Amino acid sequence: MADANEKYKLARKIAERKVGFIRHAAIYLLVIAGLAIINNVTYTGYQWWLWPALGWGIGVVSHFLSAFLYQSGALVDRVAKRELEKMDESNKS
Amino acid sequence: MSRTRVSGVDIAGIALGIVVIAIVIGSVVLLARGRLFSFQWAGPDPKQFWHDRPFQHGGLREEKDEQVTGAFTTIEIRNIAGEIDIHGGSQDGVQIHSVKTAMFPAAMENLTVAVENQGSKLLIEERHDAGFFMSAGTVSFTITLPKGIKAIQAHSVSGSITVRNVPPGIDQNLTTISGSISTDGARDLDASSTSGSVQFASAGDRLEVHSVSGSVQGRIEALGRGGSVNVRTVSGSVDVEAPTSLDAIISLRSVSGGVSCDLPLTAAQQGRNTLDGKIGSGSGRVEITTTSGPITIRKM
Repeated sequence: MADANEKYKLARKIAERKVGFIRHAAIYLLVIAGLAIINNVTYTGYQWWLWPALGWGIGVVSHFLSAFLYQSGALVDRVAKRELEKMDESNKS
Repeated sequence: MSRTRVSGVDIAGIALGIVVIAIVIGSVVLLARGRLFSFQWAGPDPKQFWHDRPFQHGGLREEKDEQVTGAFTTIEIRNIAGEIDIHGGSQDGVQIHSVKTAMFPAAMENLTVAVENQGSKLLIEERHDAGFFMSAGTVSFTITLPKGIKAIQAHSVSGSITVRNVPPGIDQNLTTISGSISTDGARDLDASSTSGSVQFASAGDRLEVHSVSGSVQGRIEALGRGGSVNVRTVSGSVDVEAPTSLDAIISLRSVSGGVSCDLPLTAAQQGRNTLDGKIGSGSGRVEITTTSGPITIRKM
């Protein structure tokens, strides 16, 4: 029961990270699209909106990597689980 | 054999992630717009590439001489960062000597000098495309004027403007943001600089000099009957020479700077930072105001 609860907590953590990224990316796309429209409606020459698209984009990409590819804390969780198992084994012996 | 399940959130998240990565890469490419790359691809031959590296010979430089003939009465020069040097000559047309300098070959190609014949007016302008390296190059102009020019208009952002040895009787309109202005022999003069200094000599009916932090130093050689002089600065000092034959009402006003006048004023009223008076019959008007800069009028 405790194990299932722990699993659910982990699953929820991962889900929160993924949904958090989707929210971040959607806001990014909306704001950058708005800036691009403002830029080109007021002045068609210099495309200044590319600077926030680049700067903020780097932040969104790193959020994407942490949410989908590198799940920070997963290694720590695995090590902690192993430590718990070791403790259980030593208590039994 | 276990199969990894992919949820809708995973698909949406990965799709969004790919879109954002594409935007970031696209931004880098569009911002550079080939300029960074053209700098690296200066030539397919590696020897040529190293030869073209601007840092080896302190930047790229291109000089051009051009002569434009026409019945011009007005010359307008618009520049961004390079100097504008205007002087008088005896030739028939307008001689334009332009020096382009840039750090990158692509910036040099991007920089052009436009010369437009607009009837009685000749427009000489520095032009470049907006882009990542939009400010990577400058153009300096040396303009030799023919006879018959009645007005000079010169505008720059950070370059200085110098007008020397031009025929008398030319109206001048000179503006710059951070460069200095130096002119002699102007008839009516309108000079404006934000942080650069202004040096002038004028002999017309109208003199307007504005500066924010730059100092103003000049000579009013003559002022036509009913003419006006208006000099304004914020923190810059004003030091003006004028003849005793000046015929004007004088008004000097400063918020915290001192004021002094060597001219023989009548009906003078001097306050701590103000001076009002009249010289001659008072047909013209000389108004000089500053916020913190001192004001001095000397006898010529």
